[in-house]
Amino acid sequence: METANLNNHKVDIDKLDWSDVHELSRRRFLATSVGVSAGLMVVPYAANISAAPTANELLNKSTVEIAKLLSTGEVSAVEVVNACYARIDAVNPKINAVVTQCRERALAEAAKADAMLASGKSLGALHGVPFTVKDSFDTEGVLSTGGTLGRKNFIPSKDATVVARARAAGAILLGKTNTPEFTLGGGGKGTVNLVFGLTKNPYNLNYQPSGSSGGAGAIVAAGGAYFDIGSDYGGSIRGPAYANGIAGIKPTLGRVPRTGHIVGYGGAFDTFQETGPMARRVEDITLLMSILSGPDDWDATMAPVPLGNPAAVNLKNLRVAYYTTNGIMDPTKEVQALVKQCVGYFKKLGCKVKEDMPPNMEKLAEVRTKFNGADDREHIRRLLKLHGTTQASPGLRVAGELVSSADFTRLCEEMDAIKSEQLAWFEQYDLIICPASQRAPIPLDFAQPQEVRSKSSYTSQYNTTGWPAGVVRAGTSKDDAGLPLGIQLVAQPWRDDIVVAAMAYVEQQTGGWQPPAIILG
Amino acid sequence: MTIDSEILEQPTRRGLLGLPQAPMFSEAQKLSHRQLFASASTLTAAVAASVQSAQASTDKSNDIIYMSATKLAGLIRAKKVSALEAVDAYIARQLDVNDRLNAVVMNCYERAREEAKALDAKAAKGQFVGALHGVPMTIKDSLDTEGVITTGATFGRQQYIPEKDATVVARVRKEGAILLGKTNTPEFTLGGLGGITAASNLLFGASHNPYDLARTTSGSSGGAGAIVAAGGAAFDIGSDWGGSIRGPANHNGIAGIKPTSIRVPRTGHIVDYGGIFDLWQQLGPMCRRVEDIALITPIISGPDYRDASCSPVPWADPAKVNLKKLRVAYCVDNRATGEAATDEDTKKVVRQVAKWLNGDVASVTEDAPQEILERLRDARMAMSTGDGGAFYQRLADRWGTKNISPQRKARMATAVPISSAAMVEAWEKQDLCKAQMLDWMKSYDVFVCPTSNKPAQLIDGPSSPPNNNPDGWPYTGVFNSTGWPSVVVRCGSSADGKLPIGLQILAAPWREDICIAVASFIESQSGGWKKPPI
Repeated sequence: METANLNNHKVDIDKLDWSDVHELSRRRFLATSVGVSAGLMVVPYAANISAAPTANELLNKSTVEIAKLLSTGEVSAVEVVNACYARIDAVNPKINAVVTQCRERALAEAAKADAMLASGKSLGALHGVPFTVKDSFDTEGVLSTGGTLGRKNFIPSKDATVVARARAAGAILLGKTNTPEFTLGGGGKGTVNLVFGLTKNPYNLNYQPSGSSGGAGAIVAAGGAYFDIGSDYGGSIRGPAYANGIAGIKPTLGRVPRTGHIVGYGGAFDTFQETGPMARRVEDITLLMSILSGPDDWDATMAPVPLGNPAAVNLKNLRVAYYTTNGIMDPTKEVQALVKQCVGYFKKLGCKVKEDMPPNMEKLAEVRTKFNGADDREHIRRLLKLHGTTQASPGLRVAGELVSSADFTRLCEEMDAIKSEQLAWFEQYDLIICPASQRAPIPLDFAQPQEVRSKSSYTSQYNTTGWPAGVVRAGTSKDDAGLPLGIQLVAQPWRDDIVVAAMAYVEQQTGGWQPPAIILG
Repeated sequence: MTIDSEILEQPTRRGLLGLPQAPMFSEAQKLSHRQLFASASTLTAAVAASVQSAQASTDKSNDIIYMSATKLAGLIRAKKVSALEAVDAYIARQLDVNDRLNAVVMNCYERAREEAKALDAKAAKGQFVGALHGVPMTIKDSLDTEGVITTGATFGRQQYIPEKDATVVARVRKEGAILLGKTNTPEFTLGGLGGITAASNLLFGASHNPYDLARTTSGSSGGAGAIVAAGGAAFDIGSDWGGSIRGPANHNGIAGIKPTSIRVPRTGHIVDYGGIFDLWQQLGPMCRRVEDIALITPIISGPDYRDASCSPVPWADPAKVNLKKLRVAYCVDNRATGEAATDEDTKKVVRQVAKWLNGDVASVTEDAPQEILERLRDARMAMSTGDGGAFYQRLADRWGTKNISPQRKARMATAVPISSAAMVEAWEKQDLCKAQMLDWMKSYDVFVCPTSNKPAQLIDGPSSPPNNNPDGWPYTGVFNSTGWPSVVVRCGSSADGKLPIGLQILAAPWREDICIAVASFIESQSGGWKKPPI
């Protein structure tokens, strides 16, 4: 592994010479370019560093902070891994977020990490940092069910690309986090499946953690892991980031490989799916994006576009568009008010701000839904068959509206025509501020027909376009007392740096993640 | 005619040029994407440099109409040739050969002369607008050209005058290139005439090969290939959905590139961004010398806020490729049989190229991912014919064409559409092959193979072999599916020495630099383009 490159956070982007790429493998090429952004952003939330942090203090730290404490030897990896497991033991019986653990291996890796450090060696920027991974990703030697019964005993022999990259940078896998079947079968109940059951929100156990990366959102919010890696086909990173009050990004399509995800690279709906980091602090997103991004010689949609440096983004110069409703289904008043509040932060900076939104969002949502079901969802039945699952989740849609192949190619053309139109619209802005959700996180028993659920989505629009979109906590709900509220920030394709910079700013203004009641006692 | 059947379904090497650095995208001054990724300092500076610097060329030709675009640009910049002289020379050549070639189907000579005069006036003041200042070009008629009739070879657009240049046309004109006219292509670049193969249509008829007028130019950028080979334009820009740049580059003995999928925006091409075949379609320059590919491709690369697939991947400098480190795989034969079998002349050329490379690169191995490519062929076929030609009919309807290409009409009359479920499954199979191809390519840096099974065949010879050829894989189309960059350069000739044979030099996605560097080396051995008898 090219840990040396991944670990190099001191590259000056202005001095990079892209013409050097021919000397490097594609992966290394990207690594040199993306290393730049790692760890550069410092967000002034309470750091609270003392000589001997308590377990609770350790667990409240960001990935960046804990990585630093580990690298200087102020804390040991064994100590941190044990602290995480203690937290998981305390909260998991209530939230059911972590569904598989690999304690023995994690502790062995931690001991090894400590020994390495003692001899002056480091695997990389995440040396010794404990993390969990959504169960839809393959993890070598660790059960990976993808929430489907056919895989309830499946132990992969290889890590998914993103897992391998995090581990190669030194991160230690604690276990797997809950997701609906294929990440798609939640059926409005957030994160639930027939293998492991239901996951609950750490801020209120009567609420959903959203989905499909619900286990990831819940355990990261509860301090049981420093970060997780999720996937997002319609909002599956951003929904849980929102409902659990953390930070998460759906990167630009083409940035982070899907290899080893249960719905991996390929097929007609390939462009909807992205994978990305989820963490308590935005600075962690910056660091993790630099580690997870870049082609892997399998996922053929990946493009080696350099990551910009969020710290170099001049927020004052951003041309901002915002909308409080997408015109399909109005958000609640508090969600709309939160958008305006966040817009205010950017106005305060002197940004040019205009109320505006991409054209034809409703039409795009309709076409996407039709296109996605055009094969009668035989692609879902094929997945069930592939994994030997005979009993599908009740929430998994296994049928659609079969259309003729002439209509299938037409729907694709219509979808792309709107994407082009929306991209042309976006030329005049750098940032979109908009709701991440139509309302506050929803109770476990919140019943909504599928149609209404589709219509209430504020996230899938950006899966269809492939634009980078992040969510960060920006407030607290009054309608659903104590539950987090977040904001969605969207930039032009490949401008993940702008998304992250804007997220960091909102976090700075609002405080971002707050510890949930469940860990406060 | 394997190319034909495919169609029917079908950096600046500024180091070399003595320029400090390649611009990553054209219009570098414009915007954020560039500033961001290019990090202002290097990129914008590079563009400025391209305007100021003279361009070194390795081309030995001293005849304006035969020298490379790079060399001509350098002479104009050095004020040894004026833009007007260049334009007049090329116009004269077109008037001389086009009766026989039928390659240029629309011209704008008057405007070209005006533009040349304006550019010469600027040059007199020491101002050069860009890297192509004063270089005369033609453009495939499927690309919109502001103020110049652009038919796309369909009746519905017989008198269509676009208000706006296609993105690629705008970008080369902004660098100073001068449009002389439009070059022949089949309808929508996809439909042809029954019994008359390659670049033919109901509006303008068939184009002819400058090396033998009875033979095909291949298609769909056949007019482009023929006129560039014959010295009627310094370069052209073609499109390639199944081999439409590479086939004509091969059969007309010039150089052409199909860049990596999503590098060059298709905005303003008659089959543009969008739809299920979106990732197959690429645009790229066609020219006599490989050095021109390195000059022009980066100029036309980069997002344009319309083509939503296009991505800002940096362009690497081919001059910096170290040949000694390259692992080369080659294959002489796709194992097709019968009419589609690869002939001995073509195989011989591949073996010769392997010999040239041997010793100058790290390794040369005869190897090909035969089984993956055959599955890819099947998936590609299912997708491209699966809707029974509905996508083609929609194109015709959009432009108000009632009388569509006879070959298409015949095909659509007998087509049996498959289900949407089968389409989606074929798509998944295609993508699995794409992933497996990337995996295979981890062992190599370069893949060299034929561009077609034979050199140019007779225009009214037997029509294309069935494109669902059960054996072998189509040399060009599968690499539209993978999206890999492919450069074609003339590597040899038919046994009688008359007909050009060009091979494909392929690399993994985004490594145009490697394709160009290797093609450049081969060109130095084979001599590349040769003057046609016409």
